[in-house]
Amino acid sequence: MSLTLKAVIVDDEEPARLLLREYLTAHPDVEIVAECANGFEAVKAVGEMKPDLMFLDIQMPKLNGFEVLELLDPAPFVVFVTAYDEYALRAFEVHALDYLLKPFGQDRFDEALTRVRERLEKGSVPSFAPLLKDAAAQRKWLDRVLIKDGSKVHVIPVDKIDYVEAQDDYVCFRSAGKEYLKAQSMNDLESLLDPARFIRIHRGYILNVERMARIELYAKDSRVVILQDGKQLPVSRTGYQRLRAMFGGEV
Amino acid sequence: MHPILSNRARLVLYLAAWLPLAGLLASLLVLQIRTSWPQALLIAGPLTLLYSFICLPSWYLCRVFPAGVTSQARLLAAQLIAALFSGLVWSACGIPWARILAHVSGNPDYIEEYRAAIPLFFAMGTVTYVAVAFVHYLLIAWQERAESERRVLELAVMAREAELKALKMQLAPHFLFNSLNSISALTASSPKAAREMCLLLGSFLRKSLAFGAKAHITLAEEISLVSDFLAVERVRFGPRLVLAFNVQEEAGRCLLPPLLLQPLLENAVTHGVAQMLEGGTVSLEARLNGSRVTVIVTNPYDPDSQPSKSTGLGVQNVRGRLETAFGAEARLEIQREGGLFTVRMSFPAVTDR
Repeated sequence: MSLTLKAVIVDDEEPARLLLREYLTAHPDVEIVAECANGFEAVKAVGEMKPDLMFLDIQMPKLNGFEVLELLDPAPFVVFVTAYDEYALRAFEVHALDYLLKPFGQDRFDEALTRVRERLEKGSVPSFAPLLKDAAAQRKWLDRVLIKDGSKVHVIPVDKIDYVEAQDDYVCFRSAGKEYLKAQSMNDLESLLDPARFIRIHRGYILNVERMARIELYAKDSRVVILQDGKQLPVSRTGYQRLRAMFGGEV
Repeated sequence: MHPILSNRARLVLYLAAWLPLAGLLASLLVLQIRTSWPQALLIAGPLTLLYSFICLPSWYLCRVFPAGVTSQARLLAAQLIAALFSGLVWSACGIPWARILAHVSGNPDYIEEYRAAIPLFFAMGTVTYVAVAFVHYLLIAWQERAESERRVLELAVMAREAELKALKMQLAPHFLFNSLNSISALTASSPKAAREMCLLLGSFLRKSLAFGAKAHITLAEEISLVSDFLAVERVRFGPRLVLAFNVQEEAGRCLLPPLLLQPLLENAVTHGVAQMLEGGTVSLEARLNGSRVTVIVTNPYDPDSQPSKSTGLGVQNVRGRLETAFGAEARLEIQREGGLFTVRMSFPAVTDR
């Protein structure tokens, strides 16, 4: 007797969702709890429905399949669905993840589902961390930051970030007068941001150098950065050296 | 670079061609001036060698007055003056040479004999110069032909490569696999729609093959191909993909290389509308502006995402093919503004007959 699985279908193309729904009719023990047409809906649905299983398309607008995974913690068991993406396929093989290649038939679908059940029963749910790490390494520097806020997702392009402030176990992104909290360490974030655009000016601050107006001497041997909007940020000694290394003697 | 001096084999051949002239001059000296054979050879041999080099710079004169471009009168006048001048210089050079021979051999006859032969040398020099100039003109013509053949070949190779690339992009696996998946999905829920999509896909592939084999097709043909393509995409994306076509009938008769617009519309869907949550409108406008055809493809794009590398490549490829077909008359601009991505191309209006 196998247990009933709650499944979410995520694909931006309606016919593709239709097909998964049809194939699933042969599996009455799988209940479709949500159908999502994009990554935002997927993040919301997973947060609300806590499904056991997710069929996840890779190519989707705004948030692709990898980015959806990045926002899910914990993530359900995922079967990736894609038509053609050499990079993704290699990644799935390397990390022994389950995937379906469009177009696929009922047989192939049933096989995948059987494998999922086996793995779930054995409790050998694969981790997506290595996959996401590979995907991150692939794109070199971060071009946008994804922040989950309850069931909502904010996508902030990095050039819209003014600065980042450390707040205990979180980092706080300041962008256009708004604040966004994300559970991440400053060191991790620093290593992901392009060092030609973002500088760690202080243990607690990473600055988008485009937002800097000037540097002022605050007290003997201590300086502050004045942003274009007038806001002041502290600069540590090493931070000041980094700024000097970037701008030369001009600062 | 001088074509004879720069090539050893040609130089040897060129100098060998002068041997009969040296022989002819020597025999004329023997027959007319009654010089002895050894003396005649000593006078004519080195002077002929010298003249073979005096004539070489005529190549540059031939380049300055190219045949077929310069008026015949000017060309003839220039070459004739040069010929007379060379003949004069050469026959004058003979005088010190005769002196040297006389001095070295102790035989003053050389000087007298050469004086008598000056008109002969002058005449021969002038005629020979003209012959050399003629050979140079032939060489130039041959070089130009080789060069233009090379250029034609190069262009053909470039065009072929662009064509191949276009065809490869054409059959973007992503598009095919996704379409097949859609058909597979529709077979159960709405068999009619599935059949419709099979027909559209078939029509699109057939046109791709048929048009791809031609050097050029009409804009109307290209648009019928992209219509099939977009109709297939409409099934996949549903109401997210809205199409707006505005094609002037006169523009449809103009010719262009095949599969030139298809990659642009594929970009508009894949990198434009498909990246928008709510989708958007892909518009295609084509009209005749006097003697030029203007085609404009517009699509919305997500300003928050990085411009895709493959969009750039696709547009580069289209630009390359447009330039191969229309040369400097081809125009292609891209613009990213206000959330709209626009490709604007124009080219001379050419119709069959």
